[in-house]
Amino acid sequence: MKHQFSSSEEHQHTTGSQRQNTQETQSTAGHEFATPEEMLRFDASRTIPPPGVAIRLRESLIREPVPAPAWWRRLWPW
Amino acid sequence: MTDLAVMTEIQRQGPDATEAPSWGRPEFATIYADHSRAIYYLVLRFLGEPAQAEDATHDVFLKAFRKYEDFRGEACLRTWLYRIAINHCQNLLRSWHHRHILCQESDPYWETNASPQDNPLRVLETKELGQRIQKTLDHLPDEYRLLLLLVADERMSYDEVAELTRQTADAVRGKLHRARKAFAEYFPQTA
Repeated sequence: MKHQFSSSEEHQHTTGSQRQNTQETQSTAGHEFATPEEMLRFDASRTIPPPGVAIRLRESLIREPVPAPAWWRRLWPW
Repeated sequence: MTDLAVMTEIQRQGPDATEAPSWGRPEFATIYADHSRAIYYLVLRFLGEPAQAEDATHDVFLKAFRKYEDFRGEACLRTWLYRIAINHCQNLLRSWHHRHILCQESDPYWETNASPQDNPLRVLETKELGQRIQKTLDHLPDEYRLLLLLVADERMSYDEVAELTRQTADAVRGKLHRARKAFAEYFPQTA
């Protein structure tokens, strides 16, 4: 299995819809990435929180009192 | 309630959900569904230990719940959650507990979790890539690691990353250039 960066020295930060068009060498099959961010994005897309976290959090929130509104929100509720 | 039932409940609650009593606040199920993957990934790769990442993700959202009334909407919610997560991780890294905890690499959730429908080869590839990324990030200074993880989030702009890391956007660009170079240089050595 091969994970590598492309030979392109072009590193740029893109947002939203720009991203898909700028990376000429990305391939999930061969795992070739133009930048470290692309690799991290791919890794992130394959990483999900264990379901147990949601269960624990839900149980914790049940025990939490709903906090009182902040002072500034009580003064200016709009 | 089973894991599946809980996740189904989370997915079911869209932006228009009007009540979610089991989550304490009507909007919190949606907040968790929208941001938990990004927060979990940041803390996983920043701390490098899946068990700690699970605890940290739980704690970050619990803190967010407690402080939610203080959230004024000046920053976007993702940025606000990242700020809580970064502070939490930095406190953990400074703590005695983190410096002495033993890492169990046999943990079933070690590294990336492949989805159930993945074929075995893809699972292996994903796990290997996750391990190599973690080794590389562990090799980098904390600041570089954090910048790369934040910039990798499609929703984050340079200005937001700069605000989160308390520096100028130009400084972020400069350090990011060096962080990319350091990452790209070390990554091949993890093969």
